[in-house]
Amino acid sequence: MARLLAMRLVGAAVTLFVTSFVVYGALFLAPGSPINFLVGPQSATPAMIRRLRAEYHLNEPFLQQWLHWLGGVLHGNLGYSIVEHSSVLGLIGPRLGTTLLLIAYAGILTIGFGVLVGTVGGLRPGKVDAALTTFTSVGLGVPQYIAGVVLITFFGVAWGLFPTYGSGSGFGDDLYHLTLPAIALAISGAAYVSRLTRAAVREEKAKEHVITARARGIAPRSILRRHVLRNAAIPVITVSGLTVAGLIAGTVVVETAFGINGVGALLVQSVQESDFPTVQAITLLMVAGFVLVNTAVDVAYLALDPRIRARQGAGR
Amino acid sequence: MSASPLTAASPRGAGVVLPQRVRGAARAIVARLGVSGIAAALLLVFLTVVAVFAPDIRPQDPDLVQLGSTFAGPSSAHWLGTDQSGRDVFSRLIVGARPALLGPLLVVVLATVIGSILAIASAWAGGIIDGIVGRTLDLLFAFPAILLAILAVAVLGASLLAAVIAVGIAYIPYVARVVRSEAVRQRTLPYIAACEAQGQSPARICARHLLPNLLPLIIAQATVSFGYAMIDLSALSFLGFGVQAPAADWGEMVAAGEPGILLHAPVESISASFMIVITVLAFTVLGERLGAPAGRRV
Repeated sequence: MARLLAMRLVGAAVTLFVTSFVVYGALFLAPGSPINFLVGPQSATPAMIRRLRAEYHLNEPFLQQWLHWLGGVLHGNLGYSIVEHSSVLGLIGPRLGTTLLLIAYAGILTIGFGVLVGTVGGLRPGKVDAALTTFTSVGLGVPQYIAGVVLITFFGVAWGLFPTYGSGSGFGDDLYHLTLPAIALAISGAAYVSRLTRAAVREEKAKEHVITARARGIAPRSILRRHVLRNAAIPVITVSGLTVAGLIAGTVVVETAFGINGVGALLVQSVQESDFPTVQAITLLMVAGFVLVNTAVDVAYLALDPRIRARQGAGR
Repeated sequence: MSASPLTAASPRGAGVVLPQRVRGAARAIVARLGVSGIAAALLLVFLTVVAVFAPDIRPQDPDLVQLGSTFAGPSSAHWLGTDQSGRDVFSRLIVGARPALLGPLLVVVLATVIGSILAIASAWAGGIIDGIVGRTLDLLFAFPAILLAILAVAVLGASLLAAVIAVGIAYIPYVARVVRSEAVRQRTLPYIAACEAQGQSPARICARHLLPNLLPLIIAQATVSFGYAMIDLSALSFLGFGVQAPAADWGEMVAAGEPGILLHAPVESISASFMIVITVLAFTVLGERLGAPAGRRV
């Protein structure tokens, strides 16, 4: 158990390390010199260029530059945006709350609806299942930004039920503003979770221990809870975690579609403004978020599944 | 969006299609595809024809700006109305089918060729090489396709090519993972051992015997990936990072039509959205039908 846990954590650390290399190294793939690229379309004063050179250690060999940058990131120094005349942290900080709230909201919708629809579909073969499967097939094929545009068109403009733009003031108003974006962000993930839940429930329902339990005359409700759902939960938890982690990158598209001033929209804006330090920082943050959520789910999985503990005890 | 390509095909039995049994194979394909699969295939054939002959069949010049009639509703002159600049939406939809289909095609070709080669090579070699390839692909998994593409666009400038290369690289692990697991299984089958006993070289066995047996799975996986690549590429185009204006592209049209939604003229956004959704659906339905294990419907 401890060894598996350690391996997962080391794996996550290596992934983040390599990611930081890719994100930083991208700077050197750009046409022209890195310093021109970092300055972007701005006219830089010699003082600014000196500052950037110092910050990115551009006079030193590449590996040292990268390690310096990584060291800075680990100390909370995400770099300086020439375009915005601000530290990157100062740009991201105020927007982080909105984005995290959006991810949490969409995550709850994804898991809640995904598990609910999948369980119902798995337990009710026939018409109900066929209808739900059609829904989830369509849901899987709908890109998040299109879900957003369609929701804006109908719930926002045509029926005027929800605001179509920006975020609110105060927590309740925020939630109200984030409802359509969260739905748009959640739809395809929820469809995916529901498909897997359905498959897992069906598979468990057909297993011998369930048939045996039924033959022994155990109450159906109890079979469902203790034999079917509990075993089906294991793959569902893994997939739910992966799906929720995938929502992080989805905020880029959804925040842009809804004009929400979050970290994802900031990434798009930074690319448009050639604000590369901000692009680097946000990309790294998002991949880090993705990796950390995945690792957390892996660890939870290790802790939850008694079979893995048992296998470990038997000596792997 | 990204976890989804995992839904794709799972391993299935070897099915060598012999040329002299083409008719039997055709019957088997029809049986496997079912009604929805055939409908999806027909839709895709239709869209491909539209894309190929787009310049000949579009009713009007898709780039003709008519500032007198912007965001006009559907009419006999403009079947789907006009956009922000008074251009004919229907003609732009037809012309936009080209980049919308070509982009994902390039992604799928790139990811499938590299992914399959990596998968077969590492399955054949096993051991350390397999381990190294596997870990490298695991690393790539951590990079959502859209983020890798945005990073590439930030560095190389916005273009369909930059987006295609980045998304293609991000898709390699999905192809490789699926193909590798089946290649590992087939590696142990007697026909491979028979080839080895005949003294054929590993390269020849992989190319002439293993690859043809993996092909149905590779095609199924590529078909599903095509749909997901369209989701990612059209999203990039929606953000303004893919096909560049004034060229028409479905994802770009969804974004360009957004101001119209607030003016109660949503036809451009909605019709482009509809095209993307049905195309993605057709690819996923067809791919799942092609890849579904025998006797079990996913």
